[in-house]
Amino acid sequence: MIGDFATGKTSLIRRFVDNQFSDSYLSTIGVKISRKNIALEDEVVQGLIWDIEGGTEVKPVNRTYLMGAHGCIIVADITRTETMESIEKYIETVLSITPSAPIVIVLNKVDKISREQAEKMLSDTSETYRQKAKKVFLASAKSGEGVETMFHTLAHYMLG
Amino acid sequence: MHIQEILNAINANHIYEYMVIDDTLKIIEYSDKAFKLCDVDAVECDNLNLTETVPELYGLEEEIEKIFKKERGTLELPYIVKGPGQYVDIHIHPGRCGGGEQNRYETVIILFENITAQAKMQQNLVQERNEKALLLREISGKNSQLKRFNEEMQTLVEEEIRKNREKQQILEIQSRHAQMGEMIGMITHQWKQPLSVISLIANLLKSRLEVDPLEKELFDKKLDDILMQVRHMDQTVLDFQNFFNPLKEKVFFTLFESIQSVARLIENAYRHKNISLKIKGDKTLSAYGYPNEFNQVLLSLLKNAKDAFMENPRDKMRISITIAQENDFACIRIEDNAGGIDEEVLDTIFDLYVTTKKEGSGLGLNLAKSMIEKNMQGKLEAENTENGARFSIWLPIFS
Repeated sequence: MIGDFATGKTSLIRRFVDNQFSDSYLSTIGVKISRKNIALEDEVVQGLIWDIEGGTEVKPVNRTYLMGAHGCIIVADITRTETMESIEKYIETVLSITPSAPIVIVLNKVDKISREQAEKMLSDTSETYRQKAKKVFLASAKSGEGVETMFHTLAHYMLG
Repeated sequence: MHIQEILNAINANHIYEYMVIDDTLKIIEYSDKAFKLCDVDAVECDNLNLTETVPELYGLEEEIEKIFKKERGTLELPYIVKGPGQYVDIHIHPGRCGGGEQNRYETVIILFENITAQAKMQQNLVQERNEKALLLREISGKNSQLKRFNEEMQTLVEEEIRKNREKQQILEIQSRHAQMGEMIGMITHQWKQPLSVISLIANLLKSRLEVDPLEKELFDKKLDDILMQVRHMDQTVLDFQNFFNPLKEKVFFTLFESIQSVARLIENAYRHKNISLKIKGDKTLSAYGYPNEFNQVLLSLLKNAKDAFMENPRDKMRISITIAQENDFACIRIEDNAGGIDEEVLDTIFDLYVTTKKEGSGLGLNLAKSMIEKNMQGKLEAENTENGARFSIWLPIFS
């Protein structure tokens, strides 16, 4: 899972793995691996989820962390346009290291804007990355909206 | 250096924990605490597979194989979270050279370096940097909001100014129409006398013509009289025309002449009401501005004075106009003895819709102040005197 800093990567994983949420912000450094069993239609698979330190302009994501990844979630904060603009950069990084890994995009913090605005941004982002990303999701680590669906859908793509 | 010597050195300095793997990724040697880092019980440590034990290396099998094959030197995975608040760097290095195969290592060493202290410092720095960036972004967002708000305010203010300007224009037109009505009344007064004189002369000439058609001298004189009356009427029309002819450029104009042209328009109406009007002071003094607007202001003030006298009649009703220079300004003072302005409204007398008259609209003085101060950069003030009111107009004498 990659994306700009403070987009909510750790919170999304925490919501998915522990079903918990905290508003306080603690920057992740390096990488932390979490495990979670994901029940698909006819099997249960174990996911190893890499929570990778958020990238900034001065410190991009360490490429070693992406080696061997079988799927990638790129997270953007729907309330911060600069994090949405960074999506392209992350897609290029992932494709250059692990080109066969399916990519999904998550627009997090959807609870902070109106439904109408969120749907519009979902539609625009889906259109922009139609070729490079499998799917774009709206999600909220705070409310839990879209979190399970996003991880399950990515697992399907990775196995499929 | 032999591999065992390296491992001994690692053990001796207590910085690293290690695992040694063969080319099937099986862990064949390890330091005491290496498995503790990976949450694996020491009794279960035999024959474990590397990627099952160290999930951070899952998916990196191909890269590790490259190290065995000498296609890659090392592999580094920095800042790996191992346990609550525990950080390690994972370094993967070539180990022992192969027995028979020259192009392949027999073992690879995985070193775990505890970097918790360093990571905590790094965490603080990153936290501080990210929070600063978020704060800056928030400030920038607020600034944008403020800018948008200012722009909206600017648009609103411009819209209000435009509406006010339109309102002002409507007021000016209304006021002008009202003054035109007044003027027409004055012209009627002005023309009545010359018309009756002309009528008298014509009748006289007609009757004399019947007695002595050749009385040339008398005819000459009476015709001159008629011409004089016609000239007087013509002057009245001219004054009226000048009064309402909008002059768009500022000019120097002689105040005395301007005041006289207004006085001519009202003299009959004033005489009829027994109001005396005197013009005193510097007859040559010029001002810089719009003479027709000055005339309108003067007419408005004189009309107000007349109305004040009508509401408060007295034996000797006097209005005086004084022209004098005060520094870079010409000062015109219009003073009456009509009793003055109610002290309660004196401060607001120039405000829109403020009037002391029963039938007043409250437009005249507001418009007069606007013409003098905004259009001509002068000043218009009002005050009470012992017996009446005094309006003072200052107009610039230089362009």
